[in-house]
Amino acid sequence: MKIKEGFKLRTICGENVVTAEGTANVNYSSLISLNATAAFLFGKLQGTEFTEETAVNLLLEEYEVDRETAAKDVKALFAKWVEIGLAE
Amino acid sequence: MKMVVQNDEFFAQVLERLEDGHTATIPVKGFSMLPFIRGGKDLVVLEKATGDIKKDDIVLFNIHGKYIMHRVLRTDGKRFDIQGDGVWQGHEYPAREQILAKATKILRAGKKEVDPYTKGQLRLVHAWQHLGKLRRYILFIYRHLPWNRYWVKENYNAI
Repeated sequence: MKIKEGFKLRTICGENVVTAEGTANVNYSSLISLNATAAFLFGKLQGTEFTEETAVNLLLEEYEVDRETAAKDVKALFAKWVEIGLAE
Repeated sequence: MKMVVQNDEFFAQVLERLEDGHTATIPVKGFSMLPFIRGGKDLVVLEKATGDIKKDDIVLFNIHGKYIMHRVLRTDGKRFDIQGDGVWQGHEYPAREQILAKATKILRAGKKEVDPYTKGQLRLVHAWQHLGKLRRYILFIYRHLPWNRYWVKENYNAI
């Protein structure tokens, strides 16, 4: 799996948001807002090929969380990323 | 009544992108550009304000610490008399360097693309401006139409 090209993680007004900047127009009306954990994963995973396993391991290194919870969250997050076209 | 379009940090980001040569689609708030731009409903595509700013241009400028998007009523190329389409009193007079961006397109309801500078559009704008104070009463009725009530309530915070 990988994050599609042209997306950029930015902090706007204290929020982690992803903007699509690959095209000539940057659409600020449809920003993708990420919570701290999702932003952490986005930052680590962007530009790499990864699996759910990679992300779970990253979470285990960074946060105090058990593998089962991390795996569940990653699964849900990646499903969402694919759904909205952020990852493929 | 001003069309204040969110806050400083947001615009700093947007202007940075414009500086890079991108255009930016942004949501807007407020009633001051009615009926041509409806805050909370329509989106506006901006490009960096390079070169001459002309009469009828819809421009984003920063004045008294606020970002405002209104239309140029008159200009001699150096001084700018600017007013919102939905405003019957109150003008702004920003300097050229305070004018940061120009609206190139309006996306009605976020979808339907409108070029605000076609002959037809400008004819409508001029006819509307010609109504003078009457605009106040027309907009009062418009904002009190039952089907606009929810949108108006949502937008009040922005003024």
